[in-house]
Amino acid sequence: MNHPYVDDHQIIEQYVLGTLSPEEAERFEEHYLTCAACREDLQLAERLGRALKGVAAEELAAAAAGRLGLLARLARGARGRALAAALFLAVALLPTAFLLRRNAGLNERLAQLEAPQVNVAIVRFEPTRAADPAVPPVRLTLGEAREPVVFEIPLPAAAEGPFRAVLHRPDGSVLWQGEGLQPDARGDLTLTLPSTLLAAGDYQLLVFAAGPEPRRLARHAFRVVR
Amino acid sequence: MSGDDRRAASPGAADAELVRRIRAGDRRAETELVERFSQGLDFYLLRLTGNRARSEDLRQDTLRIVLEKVRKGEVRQPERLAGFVRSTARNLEVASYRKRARRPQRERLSAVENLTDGERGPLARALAAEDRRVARRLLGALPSPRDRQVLFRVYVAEEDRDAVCASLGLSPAQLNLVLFRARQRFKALLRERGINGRGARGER
Repeated sequence: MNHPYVDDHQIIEQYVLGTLSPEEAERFEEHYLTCAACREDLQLAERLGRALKGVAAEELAAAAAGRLGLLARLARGARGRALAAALFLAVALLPTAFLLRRNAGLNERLAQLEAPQVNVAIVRFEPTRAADPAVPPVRLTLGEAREPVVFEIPLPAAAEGPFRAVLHRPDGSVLWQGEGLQPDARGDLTLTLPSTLLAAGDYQLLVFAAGPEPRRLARHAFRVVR
Repeated sequence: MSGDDRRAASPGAADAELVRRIRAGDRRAETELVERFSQGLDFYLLRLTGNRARSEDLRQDTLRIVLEKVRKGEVRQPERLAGFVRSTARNLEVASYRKRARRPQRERLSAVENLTDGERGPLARALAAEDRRVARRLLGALPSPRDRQVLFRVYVAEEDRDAVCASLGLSPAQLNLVLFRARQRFKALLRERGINGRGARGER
């Protein structure tokens, strides 16, 4: 990776947003080790984000102060005090009503999670070092409802953990990645995802061995059909 | 621009040459390696650890290990020296993190008390206020309300990039371009006010 490439592909923005693939992020980190301009630009992008958050916070504080000022002006007369109290109650009760409603939704979700899961989709990949383009990817048909999907990823017997796994969306962006992963008692990595995270399309799951020179151990492909 | 990679036609070739010279016993090449990677390592490790003292220790250890391995010819891909430096630094930090995690909680808490928090100093607060003023100017100067929406939804609301693209009818490349131009404009506005990208005044 060189500097014109970083500018032409807006690598810094992608790095800040976490949308680079792990390999590209590593290449960019290797590049900025010796590129002062990129380090400066990276700091700038992050400062811009912090500054915009600060502006948003100032705007919110100003809006809240405006509301309090209105209440103070209203509270000056006797009738005004009653009106201010009513307004205050309305403003105070609205978030409470919102929280109660959200709490009901969370309780419902919790009940769903605690209920036994029937016919959970389990995808077991075959042990392979690289996906063969001639072999069609594992096909996974999902319905509309939110359900867990379990991926069982076999690891080579000689490989030692910890491992890193990266799941790429159909457009190549990273949907999920985990580091420091250890195999279960059978020597597999097991990953559970909610089906709602998986839109229709072709996904790639890459597994790497940790170490000074990270080594790819396996690449698995699967296709989600809805 | 002061980045070495802008000067060199191929940073990989320069790295390979540096490795070759160190293996041949050239002491100046060792100094060059340290100078080439020190600042970048400081930056990388500080981002990784969030702790200046720890990142300085790790930088020293990284450079020592890298030099030893280069001297012994243990760097398998000399043209990827930067990758080797980065992964050595990262592995040292991972090992250091695991070691800290195994320590008794009381010891870990005392380490937390020693953290320096540069964000809370008066200078950092003044610079942050200046950054906010510049960000307001930037928002006022953006050519379209759509660009303002992009900045707020990506940086402030931290919405998913794909969702922002879909709702504003932008491709990921167009969205990146809006963010890239905003950063360039932010940089220009900071410089107009005599502030550089690293947060200090007039040090370029």
